[in-house]
Amino acid sequence: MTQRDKQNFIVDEREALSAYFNALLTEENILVADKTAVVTEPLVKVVATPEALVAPPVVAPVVIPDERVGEIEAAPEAIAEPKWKEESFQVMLFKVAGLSLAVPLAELNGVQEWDEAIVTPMPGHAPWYLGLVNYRDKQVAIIDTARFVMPEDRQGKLAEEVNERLNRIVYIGDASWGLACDEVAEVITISPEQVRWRSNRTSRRWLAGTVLEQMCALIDPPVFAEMLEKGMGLEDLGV
Amino acid sequence: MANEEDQTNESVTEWVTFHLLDEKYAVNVTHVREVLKNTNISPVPGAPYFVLGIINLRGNIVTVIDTHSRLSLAASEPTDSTRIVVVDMDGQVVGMMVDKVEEVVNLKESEIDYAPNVGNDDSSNFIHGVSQRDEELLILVDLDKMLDLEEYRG
Repeated sequence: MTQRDKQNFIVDEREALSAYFNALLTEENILVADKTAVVTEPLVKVVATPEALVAPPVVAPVVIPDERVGEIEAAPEAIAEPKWKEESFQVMLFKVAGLSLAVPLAELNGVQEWDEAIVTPMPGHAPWYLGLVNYRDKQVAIIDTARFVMPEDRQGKLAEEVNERLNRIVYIGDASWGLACDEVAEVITISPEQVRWRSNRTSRRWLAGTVLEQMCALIDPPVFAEMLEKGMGLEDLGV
Repeated sequence: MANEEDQTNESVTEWVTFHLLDEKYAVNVTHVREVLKNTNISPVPGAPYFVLGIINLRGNIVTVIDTHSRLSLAASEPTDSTRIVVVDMDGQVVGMMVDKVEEVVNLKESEIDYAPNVGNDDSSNFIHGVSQRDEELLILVDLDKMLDLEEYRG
């Protein structure tokens, strides 16, 4: 908690949201590792450049948050540009474990009420894999979205009993995956300028960007589906 | 007449269905030798976690595995309907302890759905496919993988 507070100070409005998601979706120990990495950098610079010796030591703490933001900040160019990104597009908002997620309507296949009775659990899979549902004559794999996207150390608060938590299933892409979530909120129209796009997607590749006004994370469904297929969850975070 | 038969002559496989907890599973009938009532199983020290022990089947020693733990499922208490499905995989005879044996069903190739395999977990590889039967989903087990002999030795 204190780590996040420290990290978020002196961050401007637009960057604050990225920092928020970064903190929310990153394991505590990674944050610590990142912080130390950031702290050592300016120190090395101070030793390397002779003129830096003159600089008062007070400068260093000011530099730290800037560097941190620079890391989080994503250049506006993305890896693969989805079509729906080009002009104004609609997204549907839904919630998992307090986190707001947005899925572009273009990539949305349908929404269904959660009912444990319709889900057939499959043996021996990851804890985030709930099982199969027969959706429109097709066997669709259902994912416990919270368990998939949230780092392990933040999953402790999640109710073990899925029925208490899950209310809806959001089908993405060609309905090969269903994301079980807490609740489905409204559909909104957003323009690409309202989104802080991520380009450097080395971690959390499913996160296309963040919608500033609604404070929500925009999912890139094809990438999300690809990650699910490979069974990438936390390992993709670099744990 | 013969032509008509040809058209509907899609390859059909027979599967023995059984229950594990609330789900229904099936194994290919060609591997199934017989189904036994639960008998005394002698534990084997040092055996893999999913091996319950051995039984003497008319003079032959057969290893019995706990299908629940093999498929990473919660354990269940033996009841009157608990059965041991004796399967033969290339000469290796193994007994699988299951909650209940139900019936033999015919499945056309088109009825088998090779559902998306998620991740690369070991035990998810045991699933050959699934088949929707009425309201139920039948999970078809790949015995070859489930009874991987290398793993027994390991």
